[in-house]
Formats: sequence, C-alpha cells, structure tokens
Amino acid sequence: MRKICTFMIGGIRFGIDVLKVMSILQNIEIVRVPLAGKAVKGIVQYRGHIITVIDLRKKFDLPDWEVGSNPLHAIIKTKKGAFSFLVDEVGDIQEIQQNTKVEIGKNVQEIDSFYVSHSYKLDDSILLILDAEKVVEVKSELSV
Amino acid sequence: MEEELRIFLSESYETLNSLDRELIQLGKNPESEEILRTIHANFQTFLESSKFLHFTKLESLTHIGERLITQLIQSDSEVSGEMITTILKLNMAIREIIFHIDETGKEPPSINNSIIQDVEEVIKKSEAEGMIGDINDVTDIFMAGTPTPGVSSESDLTDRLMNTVVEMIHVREKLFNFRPAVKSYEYSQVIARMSALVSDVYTQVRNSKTQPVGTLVLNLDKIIKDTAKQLGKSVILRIIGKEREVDSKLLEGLRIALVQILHNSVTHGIERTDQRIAHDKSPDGSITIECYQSGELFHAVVSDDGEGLDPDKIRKKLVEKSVLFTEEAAKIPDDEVIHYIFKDGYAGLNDSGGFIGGRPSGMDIAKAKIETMGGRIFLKNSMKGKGVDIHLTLPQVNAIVPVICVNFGKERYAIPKIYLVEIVPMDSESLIKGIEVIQGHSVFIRRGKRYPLIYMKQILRYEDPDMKELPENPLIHIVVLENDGMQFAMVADGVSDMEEAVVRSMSSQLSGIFLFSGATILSDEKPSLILDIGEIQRHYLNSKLVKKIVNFEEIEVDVVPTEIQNNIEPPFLEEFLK
Repeated sequence: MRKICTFMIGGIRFGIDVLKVMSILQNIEIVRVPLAGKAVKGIVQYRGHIITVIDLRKKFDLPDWEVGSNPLHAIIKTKKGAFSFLVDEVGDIQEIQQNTKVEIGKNVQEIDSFYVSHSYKLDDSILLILDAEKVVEVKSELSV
Repeated sequence: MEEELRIFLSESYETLNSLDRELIQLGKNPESEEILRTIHANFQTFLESSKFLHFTKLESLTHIGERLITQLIQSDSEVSGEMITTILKLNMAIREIIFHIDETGKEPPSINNSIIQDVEEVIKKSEAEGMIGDINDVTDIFMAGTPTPGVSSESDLTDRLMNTVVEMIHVREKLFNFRPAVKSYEYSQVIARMSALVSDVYTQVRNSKTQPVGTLVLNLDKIIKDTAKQLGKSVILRIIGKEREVDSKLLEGLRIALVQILHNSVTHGIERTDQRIAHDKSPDGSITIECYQSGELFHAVVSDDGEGLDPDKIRKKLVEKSVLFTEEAAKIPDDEVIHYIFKDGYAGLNDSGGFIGGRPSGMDIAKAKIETMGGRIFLKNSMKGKGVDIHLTLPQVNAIVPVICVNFGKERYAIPKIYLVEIVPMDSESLIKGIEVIQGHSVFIRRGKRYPLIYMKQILRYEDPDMKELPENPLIHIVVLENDGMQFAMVADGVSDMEEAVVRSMSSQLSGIFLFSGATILSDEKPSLILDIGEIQRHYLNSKLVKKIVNFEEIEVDVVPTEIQNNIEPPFLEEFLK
C-alpha cells in the first residue's frame, strides 16, 4: 500500500508519493529567471535554498493560469534536489492498493504519458501518478 | 617507477576508503545519483592509474565497475541491495589486488574471475528490466554491515550544518539592519560577539567542505607525463595557487575538466622535442595552471607554450563537421574563429584520435562538466607559435561575497562588488545627452572617456507590467563596471546598499544560462540572481570593434558584422528608458 498526495492542475487530478512531498506553500515571492525554459516560472527561497519553480500547466501544455489566481507551491524532493511544482489545489491523501494499478491507453490521458509513471483505478476515477524525475529532466530547454 | 608505485598505492588506499564510504551512503540513499557519480569518479581514477601502470587485472576489474556504475546512473532507478553487495564484492577484489601489489610490487598471478561474471550478470539484468530496487534489502545489509557507523553520515552532516549556518548568516544580516528604539552599548556588544561566533562556525564548516587545489597535482602530473611520453614529447606542469581552497564537489568536476584540457594541450598544443628545438624554443614544453579567486568565482587558467591554434585548421574542421559552410567560415576573422573550439559540434574530432582512459578526449566533455556545475569555459588567448590560454570559472558555492543590488525595472539582480567601479546617479535627460552611437554601439561619455553601454533590460527580456506610472525625467543610475581591463556601463533604475551574500547553487535547468553565475538570498530573505559580469562582458563587448571604439581608434567602415556583434540588438534609447 502506498500513500499518494493528490493535486489538481487545470482540471486534472494527479498524485505524487507522499514521501516525496516536502511542503506546500503559498504566497512566496517568485523571482523570474530570464532565458530559462518556458516551464521554469522562476526561483524561490525555501529554508535558505534556492528552489526552481516548475509551472506544471506550461509543462503539460494546459491552459495558462487565470489572472489573479494564486497557485500553490508543492515542494517536491527529486534526485536533482528539491523543486517547486505549481499546482491549483492540494487534495486528499489517497491510500492505494497495488492491485488497482491499471494500464491505460495514451488517448485517455490528458497529459503527456512521458510524465506519468503509472496509473491507479480509484472508486470513480483514475489517478495518474506523476513521475517527478521526468518533470525536472533537462531537455535542452534553454531558449537562448 | 618506485616513486610512482608509492604514490599509486597511497592514492589507491584513499580511493578505496572513499569508495567504502560512498557505498554506505548509497545504501542509505539508493536513489542518489550524486553518490553514484562520486563512485563512478572513483572507479575512473582507478582505471586511469591502473592503465598507466599496466596493471591489467586491476584494469579489467575497475573497467567493469565503471560500466556497472554507468549503467546504474543511466537506468535512473533505485539501486538494489543485491547490486550494492556486488559492488562491495568488487571493491574487496580490488583491495586484494592492491594489497598484493603493496607486498610484492606486482599484481597477483591470477584473480577470481567469478566476480567479473557476477557484475556482468547484474549489468545485463539492469539493462533488461530497467531495475526496480527494493530499499529494504539495502537497509538490511547495512544494519548488519561491517562498515563503521558515524563516518557514513559525515558529508550529510556537513551539508546540513552548512545550510543552517547560511540561515544564521541571513538572520545576522537582518539583525545588523535592525534598529532598536533604544541604542545601548551593551546591545551592540552582544550583536558583535554573536556575529563573530557565526563567522567562526561558518569558517569551520566551510573548511571541512573544501580542499586545496594542490591535491589535484599528482593525478594531473601523471596523466600529462604519460601522454607526453607516448607522443615523444616532454612537458613540465606547474600549478600556481595550489593552496586555494575549493569545495570538494567542484574540485572533482574541475579535475575531470582539467584532464581533458591538459590532454588536449599535450596532444595538439605542445610540439615534439625536436620541433621545439628547431623553432628555437626550450626543449621541454610547459603547461601552467593558475588558480585564483575573485568575487563569486573560482578561476583556473591553463596556459601552454605550444604552437597555438591554427585558424585555418579550425575552419576546415568546422566545415567538415557541418557547423558552418565554407564561405561562412572564410568570412570569420582569424581572431574570432579560434573561439569556435568551444562551439557545440566542434569538439570530439581530434585528428590524432587521442584517447584517454578509454573515453574520447575532447573539449566538449570539459565544457559539459563545467557548465553543469554552473561554470564557464572560454578561450582567453591564442598566439601562433606561442601557445594557448584557456580560462575556466566556477561559482564558489557557499562563499560569502559582498554584492550590490541593482534594479532593472521592478526586478533586482546582485552584482559582486569586485566588478564595481562607480555609480553615477543622473536624470535621464542628461543621460541621453551623454550617449553617442558609434557603428551601432552605444557609448556613454564621461570626462572624456568612452564607456560601452549594455542594455540590461533588453538582454534580460524585461517587460514592464505597468509603464504608465513612470515619472517624467526619472532619476537613474549609471553603474560602471570593470572586467578584464575593460570598463563599461549599465543603466539601472535603482541601486541598493552593499551586503554580504552567500553564493548558492542553482538547479541544472538554470546553471547553463550564461547571464548568471549563481543565485543568492538577500537580507530581506528574497532570492536574487547573481549577474555573471565577466561572461556578459565577453559575450557582448569582446569584439575588436568595441575595443577600437573605447580606445578612440579609427574604424574602417566595412567592418564585417560578426556573430558576437550580432548578439547586440539595436539599441533604442526610448525603449530602454521606459
């Protein structure tokens, strides 16, 4: 059994292993980084560290944030250090049984299957588990 | 040989101990790529030296170890307990060989080949299934394991300590800016003492995380001598600034980059002894690595006294590698085409096919390594027949650096004080009067001197969110900076007081952006990017044309527009004043 923290982003629900979620923050100042990739929203300070903020809507090609919206920072632990993922909402913590793992076709997924490590069937829906390592992978994103 | 063997043995024991420590760490953090990379570097060190000393059995063991770790890094998943056991076994086998060499001066006549087969199997398995590890296995090994507890968490502990101290420094900066209602002598005494204590802890923690550059010497010297001998050359290596302390992690990256650069220098730069004598040079080639620190950066300049770069050869290679067309390559002046050795796609095409440690040599390895650490590499100088200077810079992570903050619009950036010459406040009308545009370059004229202007808002792609609020004829600041002997200016909307900032590293997504050498957290606890002034100057102002303008030299009208100049977008005065 795994515990999964769920998030909402642009109407899509996805999850990340609860052990990887270090903190949820709001209203912290983001400093823009010129020439960074489009999905990099900027940097923030988190307990003395400089943390890169990844805009998941941009990353997944979802519609942009509405003006005045106040996204949450989910601070996620990865092999490359901590990152902040911008999300709309933080949902419940779901307990997942291994046997509810499902294979779903590419057409069912709203976001690029590259970023999804696997999916689980819940009572009424399907939960996509985000592969945080893939999200923070550098793929020649510099737009110099 | 005696001496070499002795050095080899003492280094080997050190490497073995480091391997042990890293493996324990790996058991605790089976996902850590960083630890894997350190282990990888350890195996590489072994591989290089065993090849050098012709210990073939040791070479085969370390080679397979290196392959295994490479596979683990690539497979990008947790390392299972089984794998760690295998690496530990491999480590044991290497240790046995080293013991044997220590006692007899030779490798043992035979080794147990089963370990090699074991590792081969693990590699195959890992390749096949993409590896899904079980963390519990790993912890089990180390619960019952032989390694001494305590040592293992050492690097973790100093990392954590460092972060705490950095936070303490932030609090201290805040405390300094804090003005109590009642000032008392006693209060300021306490603050001063507290501050000194924080500095003390910082220095001690930092010292435990740094190593003098001199520790690289033995290793590099060996590589140079070996390569030179094979090619019938003779080279002497000198290192200036051996005592400079560098963060241990940076030092490892620096080593990898320097190996490539030195190898390149010996193979292509330094001439054979007979050629040198024919050219009236001293028979021994010389390579000097000069290390120094300035501001937020650590510098290493590698200079050789070889034949220098041949612009025509470089053009030929650029065309061969389809980086440029023949006509394009021909248009670039000699003194600019040489900089293309660091262009993507150029490196890795050495005509003599130089290989070191089984890997293709090339500047691209050096460049990639330096850039992932947030550093830069560039050609400083090349004189035909006289030699080449290659300059490396690396951010000094966790160093305390005095900075000033400049505002461009609503954004704020930190500039290390060391680059600052002066700040001239003036209103924008008088600024416009003081600007002259020569051959498309804006220069600011003050007291009969010309300062090339850099339009930071354009370079930073700044878009002002609300431009209407601007007052008429606003007060601005000309920030005069100096790098590498050239003074130039930026126009800033505001400048703040100097403060002490701790240089922090940035994620790999951002470390490649040439504009910034790192980031820091200022006393208001907000993050700020540190402008890489040296790199900005080189990128935008390093052309001959700009130098001529600054020196009031005559300019021919038909100057060929080159890549470097093209990078400067046409300056629109109205635009940057917005």
